[in-house]
Amino acid sequence: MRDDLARIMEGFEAECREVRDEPAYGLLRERYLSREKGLLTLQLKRLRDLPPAERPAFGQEVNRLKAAIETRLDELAGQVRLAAYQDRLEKERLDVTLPGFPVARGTLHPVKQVEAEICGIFQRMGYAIAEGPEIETDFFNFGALNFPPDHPARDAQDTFFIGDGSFLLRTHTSPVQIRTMQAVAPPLKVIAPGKVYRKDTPDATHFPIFHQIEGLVVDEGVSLADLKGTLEHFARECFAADARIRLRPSFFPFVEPGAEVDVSCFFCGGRGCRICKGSGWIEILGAGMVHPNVFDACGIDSERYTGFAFGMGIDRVAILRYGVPDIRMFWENDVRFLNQFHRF
Amino acid sequence: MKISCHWMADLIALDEPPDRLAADLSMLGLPVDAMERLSHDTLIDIDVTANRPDCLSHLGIARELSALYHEPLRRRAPAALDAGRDAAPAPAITIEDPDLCARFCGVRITGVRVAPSPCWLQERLLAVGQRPINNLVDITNYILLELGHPLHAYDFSKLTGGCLVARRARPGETVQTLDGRIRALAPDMLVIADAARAVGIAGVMGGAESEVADTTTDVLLESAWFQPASVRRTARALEMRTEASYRFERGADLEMPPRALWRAARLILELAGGEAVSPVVDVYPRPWAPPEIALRRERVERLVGVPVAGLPVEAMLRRLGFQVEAAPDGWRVRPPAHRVDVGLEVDLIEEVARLHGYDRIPSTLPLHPSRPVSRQFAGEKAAVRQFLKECGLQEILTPNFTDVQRDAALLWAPAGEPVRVDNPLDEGEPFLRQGLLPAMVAALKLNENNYNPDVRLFEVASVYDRCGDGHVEPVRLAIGAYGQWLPAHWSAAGIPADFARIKGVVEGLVDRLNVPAVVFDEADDAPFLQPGAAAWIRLGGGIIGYIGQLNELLAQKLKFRRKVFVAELLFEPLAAGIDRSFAFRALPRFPFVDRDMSFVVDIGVSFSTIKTSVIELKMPELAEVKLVDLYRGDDIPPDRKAMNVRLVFQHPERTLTDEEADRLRERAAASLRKRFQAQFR
Repeated sequence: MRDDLARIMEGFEAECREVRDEPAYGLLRERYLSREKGLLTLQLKRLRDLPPAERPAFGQEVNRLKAAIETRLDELAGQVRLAAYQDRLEKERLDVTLPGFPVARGTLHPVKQVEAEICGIFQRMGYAIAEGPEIETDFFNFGALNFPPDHPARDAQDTFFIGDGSFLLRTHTSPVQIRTMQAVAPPLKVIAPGKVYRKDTPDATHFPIFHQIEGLVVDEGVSLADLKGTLEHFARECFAADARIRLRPSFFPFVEPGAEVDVSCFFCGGRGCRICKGSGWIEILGAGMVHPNVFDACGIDSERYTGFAFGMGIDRVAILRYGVPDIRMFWENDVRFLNQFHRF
Repeated sequence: MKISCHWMADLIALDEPPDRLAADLSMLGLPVDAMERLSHDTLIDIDVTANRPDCLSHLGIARELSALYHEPLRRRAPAALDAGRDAAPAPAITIEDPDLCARFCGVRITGVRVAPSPCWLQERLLAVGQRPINNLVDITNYILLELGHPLHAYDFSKLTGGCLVARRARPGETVQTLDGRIRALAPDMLVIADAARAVGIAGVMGGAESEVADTTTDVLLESAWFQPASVRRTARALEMRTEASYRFERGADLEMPPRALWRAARLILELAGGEAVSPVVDVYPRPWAPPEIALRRERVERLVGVPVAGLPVEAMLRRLGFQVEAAPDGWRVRPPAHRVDVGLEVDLIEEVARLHGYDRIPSTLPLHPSRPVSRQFAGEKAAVRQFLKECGLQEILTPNFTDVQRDAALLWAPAGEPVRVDNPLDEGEPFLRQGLLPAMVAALKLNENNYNPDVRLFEVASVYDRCGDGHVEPVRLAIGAYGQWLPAHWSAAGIPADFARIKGVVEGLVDRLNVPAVVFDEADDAPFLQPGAAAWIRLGGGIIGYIGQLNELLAQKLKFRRKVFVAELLFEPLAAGIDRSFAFRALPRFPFVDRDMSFVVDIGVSFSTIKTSVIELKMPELAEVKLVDLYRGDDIPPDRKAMNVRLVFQHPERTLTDEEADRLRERAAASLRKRFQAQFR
């Protein structure tokens, strides 16, 4: 009978080597350890046939064999599961180069992106955002801004009129200066983005509707040096960390002294290129110190307060920055164009 | 204004090369548009701003450079002219309307021979773009370009009465101008007239009848100062723009009229064979006195941000031709007559800053505070745009000008009459838009025409309506899409842009903004939407927008090949409806239980009526009513549909038992059976 046990062990070892998967393992376990028909159960049942004296020794032998087989089966179970897992890994292997499930790609309009960026720069400097209507009166668009009636300074801003000339479409965002100063007493620091209108026939660089952003600071002791510092900071955030600015005297009726502001060319760094027409500078802004007549129109004491104002075309900045060849593309809304501005 | 460096050398000695001149002029506030190099000359094209008419001549530019380079002018002003013994008789000149003509000078020259100008004169004129005509006309043009003062030459023999008068036009008066056109004059226009009739429009253009011709031998030269606004109004009314009007409307130099005549008369005597010259008549009823402007040291420092100690203020202003006297707190300054732009202290401060150089002013970063400025719904507008972008929509920008007739079919709920532009760029589009849908549809169409298969767009923009005596500019939001919202993927079919997709975006937006109580109902009455695929968006009893498929018949007319889905919302009521109260709510401590109800009802029974009727049972445990499935098919009659609605129950203080949940479900089911004849499955 001992020999039987040895044969069982040998057979078990041989069968173990054949087990490749979980079903075969299950059958093997059943065959040896099943409570009813397992080979070891059958051996234990044979105890009754033995003389009582031999029973304990044989019983111990069978139990030892059973323990060995269980240990071996547990080990085998681990091996089989690992093999099955590895097998599954292989079967479920992905082609990770396949495209992922798409997300619908939205975009903000490039002009509005630039607008938001410029607003953000000034908001970080503590400016509040102000707004005003697009249908304005002569007073807010010209009169209060020190454009005398019948003055040629109005020529530069070919105006759309409404209601037999009693209203007009604002030609710049500067009326927001007046509306803000009339509504809120200094100190004031505002930025006002919005649509403006000039009667220009559309071509590559003109469109009768475009976007401007206006800045206004009014407080005691605001100087031209402050304007320079502010715009320098703006240029460095908006265009290039090492951008420089240049103020040139110029004329806008609502500021005095007035200036055109150039930014060092952000394509060539100021060495001179096609974009800056070799000059190293790109004209970006108009600016200056708020004219005392403008303060008077707003009921602000121009002896006590000084201020600066500046304005720039947002579309123009977008055109320069992205190299868009034709301003009309901003208004066509071809998604192949809009798609290119998904980065921001 | 084109400046010839060669010509300039007559007026000021300059060593600087033209490039340097151009750069320095730009930094003085006279930006150079272009430079043109000729064999013996360089032309500098200067963009002179509207406030600096004094720079519209070679003399003007020379004055600026003289101040900048500390280099005196070679010739400050033409010397007075002595008529001599054989003087021609002085012309009779009068000013009838001194409010429009402050000074009127004239000189008569006899024995003139009209001929081509000498080469040097023709070359100078040609170089700066002026066509030579004859010696007399060329000389007046030469003076204009050199001294900046417009002159006019009359054939004296053609002047009735041999006299000139500056007066307002008579009612019904006309004049034939040099360009041959007959001009009807209005009574507020100033004319130059002889004893009989108008012979020119003052400061704008001379008349044809008294024009200098080849046969002219007796010339009367006019040199005057006309009121700028009047010249501008006249020139605009007549749609004429001349070199003369351009200068007079900006403001000519009141001191210049006789000087320009002296110089011109000398040239005529020299180059056009003039024999005798009359004394210069100068009618100048109220001679100009320079304003006295106080310039305070403290003000210069405050405005420019530079200590005055470092600025030679007095010397700089003197170099620019200002008279300067010291005063206790600064200076008393009198500008020269040609500086029509200087009238206030700040104007002088600009002169100081300009000559000092803006580039030498330091940069300081101010830390001024600001009072709060109210801005309606600015944050919400940005949030809406950002949300729509994240939903996968692309922001567009569309023009505001439109034709209301063309838009009518796509216009929804204007707040008033349309706003009409008096002088539109395109006569076919004289109105401001009242809705965003027409431009949205146009943008979709452009994309379809450009073979873009899948398009999802949005715009947030103002529209414009007349309102009482004024206007309103309400903000609207438009959405438009066609094709696939998401394209087919190797792992899944494409998701079409359809009603549910657009509605999901609007619902998501309403949810994001936290606007409670937005409801949708059928909008079969919207003519531009497809009946059965259109919904009004309602808030607080009012309609704030719509969602729907663009009416197919309309879409066919617009030549769309695809189904188009659109939405338009009024932004302000939406933003005003935002529930801004927000506070943390305790998390439920007990699990929820859900129960599904599967039933068949008539097709006409909407989900929202079912949901509302369940909510109206006011079961306190009901937390949510969700549509899980909707089915129409062969196993259901064609006028019926199957719905699977999930009820979610939750009790704040204990776990609901299965029996309780079943009872709650049965209450809801009983109500649906009774109200909608729902057949449960």
